Amino acid sequence: MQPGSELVPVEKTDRVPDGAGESAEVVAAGPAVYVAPAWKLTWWRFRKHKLAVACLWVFAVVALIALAPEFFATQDPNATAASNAYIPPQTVRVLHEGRVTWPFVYGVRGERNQRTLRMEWALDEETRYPLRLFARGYPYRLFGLIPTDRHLLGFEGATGRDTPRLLGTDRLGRDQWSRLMYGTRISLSIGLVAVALSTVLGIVLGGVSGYFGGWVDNVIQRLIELLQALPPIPIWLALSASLPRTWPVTWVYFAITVILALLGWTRLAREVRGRFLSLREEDFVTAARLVGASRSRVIFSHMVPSFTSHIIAAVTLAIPLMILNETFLSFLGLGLRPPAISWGVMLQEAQNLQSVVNAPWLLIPGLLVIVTVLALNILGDGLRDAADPYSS
Amino acid sequence: MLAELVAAGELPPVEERLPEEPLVIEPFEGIGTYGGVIRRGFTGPGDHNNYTRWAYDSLLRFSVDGSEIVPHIIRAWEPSEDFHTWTLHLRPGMKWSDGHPFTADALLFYYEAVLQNEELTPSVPVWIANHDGTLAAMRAIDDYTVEVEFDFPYTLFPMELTFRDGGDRTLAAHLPGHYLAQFHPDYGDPEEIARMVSEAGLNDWTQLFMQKGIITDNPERPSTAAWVPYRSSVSDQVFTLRRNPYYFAVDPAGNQLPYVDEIQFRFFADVEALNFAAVAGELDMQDRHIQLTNYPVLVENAERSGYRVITWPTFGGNDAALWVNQQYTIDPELGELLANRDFRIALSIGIDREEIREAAFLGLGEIRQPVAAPWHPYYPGDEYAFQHTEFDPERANEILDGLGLQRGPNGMRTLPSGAPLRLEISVVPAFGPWPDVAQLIASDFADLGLTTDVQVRERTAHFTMRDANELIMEIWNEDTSGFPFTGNPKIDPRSDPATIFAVESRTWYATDGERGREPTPEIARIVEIIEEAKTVGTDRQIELAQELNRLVADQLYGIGTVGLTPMIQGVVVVNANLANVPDLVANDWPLRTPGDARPETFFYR
Amino acid sequence: MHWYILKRLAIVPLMLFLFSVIAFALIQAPPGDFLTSYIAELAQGGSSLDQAQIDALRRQYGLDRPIYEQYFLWVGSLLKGDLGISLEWRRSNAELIGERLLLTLALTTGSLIFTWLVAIPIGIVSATRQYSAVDYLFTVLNYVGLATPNFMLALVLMWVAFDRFGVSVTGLFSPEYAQAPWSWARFADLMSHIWLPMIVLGVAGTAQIARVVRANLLDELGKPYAEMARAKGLPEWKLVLKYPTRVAIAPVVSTLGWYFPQLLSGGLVVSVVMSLPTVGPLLLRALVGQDMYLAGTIILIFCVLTVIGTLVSDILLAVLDPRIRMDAA
Repeated sequence: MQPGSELVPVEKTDRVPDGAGESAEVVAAGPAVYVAPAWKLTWWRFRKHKLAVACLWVFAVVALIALAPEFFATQDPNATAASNAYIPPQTVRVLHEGRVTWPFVYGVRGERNQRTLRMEWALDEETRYPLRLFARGYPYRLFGLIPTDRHLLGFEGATGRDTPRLLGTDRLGRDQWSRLMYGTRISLSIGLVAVALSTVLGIVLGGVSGYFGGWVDNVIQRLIELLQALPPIPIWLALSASLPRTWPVTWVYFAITVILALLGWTRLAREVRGRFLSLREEDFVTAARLVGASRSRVIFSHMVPSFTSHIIAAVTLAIPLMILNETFLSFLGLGLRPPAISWGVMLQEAQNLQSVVNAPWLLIPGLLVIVTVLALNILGDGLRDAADPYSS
Repeated sequence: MLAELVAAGELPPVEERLPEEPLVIEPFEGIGTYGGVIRRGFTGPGDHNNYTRWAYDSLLRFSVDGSEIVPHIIRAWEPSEDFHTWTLHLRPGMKWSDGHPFTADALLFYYEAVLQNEELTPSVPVWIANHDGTLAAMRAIDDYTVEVEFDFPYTLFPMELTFRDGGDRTLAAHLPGHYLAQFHPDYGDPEEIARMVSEAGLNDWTQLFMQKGIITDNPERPSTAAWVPYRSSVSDQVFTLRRNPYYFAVDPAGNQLPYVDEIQFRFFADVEALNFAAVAGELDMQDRHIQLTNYPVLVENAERSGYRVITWPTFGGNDAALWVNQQYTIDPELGELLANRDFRIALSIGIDREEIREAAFLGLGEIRQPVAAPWHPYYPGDEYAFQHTEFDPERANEILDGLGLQRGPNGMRTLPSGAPLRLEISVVPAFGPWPDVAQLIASDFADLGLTTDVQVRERTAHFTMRDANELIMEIWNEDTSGFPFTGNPKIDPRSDPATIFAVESRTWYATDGERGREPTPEIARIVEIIEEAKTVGTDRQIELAQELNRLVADQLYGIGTVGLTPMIQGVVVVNANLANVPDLVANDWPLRTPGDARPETFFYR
Repeated sequence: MHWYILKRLAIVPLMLFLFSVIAFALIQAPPGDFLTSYIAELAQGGSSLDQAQIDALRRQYGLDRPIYEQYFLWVGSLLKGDLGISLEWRRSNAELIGERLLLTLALTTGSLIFTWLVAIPIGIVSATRQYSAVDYLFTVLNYVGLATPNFMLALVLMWVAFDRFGVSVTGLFSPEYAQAPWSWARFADLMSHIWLPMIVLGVAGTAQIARVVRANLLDELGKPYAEMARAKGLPEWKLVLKYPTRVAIAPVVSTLGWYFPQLLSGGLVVSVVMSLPTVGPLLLRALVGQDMYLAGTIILIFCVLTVIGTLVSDILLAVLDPRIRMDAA
């Protein structure tokens, strides 16, 4: 079976195409019947799950932001302006003096309350910044290659640090909308890369364990038990504290990813092993072995494809865990640290009374975490249901 | 509370508990009434100085404004004419918290059992050492008079005595020998001590002796503080202190202090939770661990939770100085640049301090170099305090251009040799806004074409790197500008742990020039000033201190940003009914704030 | 059967030995030792120790000895049943851990009960009303519960509780009861504080368990015996509660084993944020401060609990299901 192949007309077979190991090569004479490869069947079933499809779109948007945060940002995420601290989100409006107009944002005026020392902001209805799409802003390189200064959103008449802040500013007057866009790239990529690494580890070790059994299985299973019994906090702490002290932020970021992956593969390995154990006894595997297929061929041509969809589902469910772990680690001060921007770093910076009470918009990164994790979970569940041949 | 005990015959009447000549403490507002509990928060055993600062149980104390040394346990003191010998007068009739008489034995027990014992004191501490490094001589003239003799004129000795209160979990300079002797093999029964050591699971008697002698660990140890630990220690969930019935101080009306019966320190695993409790009105007097960032929330909820918020600015110096390594060797060319005074001037005028003041200090404090406070005799004058603090990126760029730091195609400067120029600011997430200050400075430097990384490090990592001379720049405070000659002044290259500017010279001084790097004349001058100041009278000390402060502002080893803010333990949450809390006190660790606000006199209206 | 149990038991000492080595190695991995971090802590507070004091302390604590020697000293005293002394707290580890373990268990059990009381009914309702609005609502709520970083939830709920209802919920006790011996009043005080952390800790678990119950119940309801009962005219609610629910809950009960260690680490951040006197923050603090004997002992206790937990559940499973023995052989 080749992933991506079109529908192949095949002879009617005596087995119901259930997606498990059905091979498109089994073709005989007779009236043509369409047999879809497993992934396609899964996809069809998945499409029926409307909520999951919606979540796929949500995730696609988040992924798009992660690919080109510069394009979605409106300001340099690191540009500080003390006089702009704690500006509440400036909402996009369409009503001005009772009339519907082109979407715009009011300006703000603020000063420090001399008693409470809090920056207090009021709407300045004199100043209006109309919203513009694909507007010019600060220069950057799209995907790190194409130099441009076009951004998805812009505001007419506003430049540099006056640019309206759609999600408000933090204590240093940095634009939270833009920071969130950049944070998305780091947090999502940590989740994805860590899961990718742990998937490889999990599949290889789980597969080896499940296929060979015996002492190999025993050793790997004990290793997994050992890792699972150890509380993760000391491992995180030991590993992240052992990182060389002189490493720049980007290296630390990769190291954190690897650490997350090193600790995250055990679940997946168990799942893969479980599938292998049950598949090993399946007729089609026995059949393949009997006709003399080599071991690697049995594994990679027959067994792996038959549970790819399960793996995809498991992986989808693992990403949100990684994302949550990143926020958790950064919160404890063991993960990324400023000036790196990630959801965890942003949440960590919002973990004080001043933010929760007087600047609740600084908790918006938490909402984005919830939405992303939610979407991935529902997506993963949808995929799992769809991949299960026994479900309705 | 005590009257009942007296009536029951468990306690002698107050006249018998007070010394012949009790200390009179002038309250801030007026004579108070007895009773009540003050609730405070602490963060566990590492926070033992929370107790130390509150108790301020030292032989001598600083006044409320931090300007002079005033009597405490020691009633009076005088030097010999040549300042070699100091005579200390104790208070006849004064008693330990268990009622045992407090005599010269308290000081001599410390001298003999601790200082002269090589196991407890492997090397003589500098503050009580002769010039040749040997231990000074101490003897009792009578029960209430002690003499300490040095081989050099030691004018700073009384100030050193104010620091020997058992802070930092050390032994205080006055110890209850009548209680501690049983844990010391020179006095007690060795077998019994061995039994106690093994019972407590300890390694040797020194551990036992320390544990028994440090009051925050052992509530049974008699004390001379206004409140003494009550059946709890600093490792408990609630560390309770109760009034010392034998406290030797009274108010001007002759009422024995303290007014408040009980102090409760409640444990918080997290500083933010402690701040939350303060906002909820669960703490009656809290300065330590209150975050400046939360100031607006604290003020906004003051009325409904029944407290008021006052601010005590730090005692001079600077609350976030950028210290520059003068002996950086990993990259010699960069090291040379860092040691160039013009480069440091360019850095200093390249910092937008107003931005830092607004963003990190809520607009509080003063833009200044790390010198003493304007009201302090050591103040070098405005021209030095504000030297190089103006924001002038244009001139900074000129200086940098003049140093041969060419801008590359990306607008960033390179070293004169053409090698990339990369600065790093290492910062520990302590005291709240330092990482923010570092980021603001880094972005100012980037505007000058200087690539600057900010590294937020865990404090142990930072200190290890500091000791290994691996740091380029760091953000730390300078809170010792009012005390440049005693303790561990930040500007003294020999201090440990010091700031980063001359780590190699610290080794050089410690090894008598064998290893490390010989200091530059300017750095050597700092050490000369400090050494001379220890041996001269007050007027000359002021001259020397001013010279030192001018040198600080000229050399910019630590580039000051903002000072005199309430950043460190200066935002004070006080129960609305708690009286006699001063609006302003000198706020610094050597002054043991809030102990120097005289908490004995606090009372509930 | 006996062979299987014996075999599993035989591995336990080996596992424990490995854990003790790993635990010790993990604590030693970061640079520096307890004193380095202690000195750093002092310096942060503006004070310092001189070299002589540092040397004396290092000797006192035995930190000047080689690492393997420190390890054997530690393990040696552990074997004698002595859990050692905490360097930072200067108290016996047994005491420190003991007083927190009980509260940790209380909190864990509390949030477990909360979880079940909420999750099981939700699971049943969602399953019996599959694809209804209620089912969708609960499903989404469950997912939101799973997705919310609970440390964020903790601080927000703390503030809301104070701001809207005037109750302050830091810690597990009011100060007057924190050190008091157990009494009804103390218990009542605990109950008045424990509900918020219970909810915060239980949220994610609720979502998980509700999903499992829903899925299992759906399976059961489709089985012939359910159809049969339905055909016989048994009212639906009676049918659901009578048998399928019990079967659906069974796997949930078997997760008890891993629930405790999971909560111990998962609850850590919540405990830190809410200042709860549980084991988690103690461990974190010991690790950061390199208080190695305390940290090592907690980790080891942790591992022992997990090993025992898995062992017991494995043996139970083996007793219940003979096929397991073949698999493990």
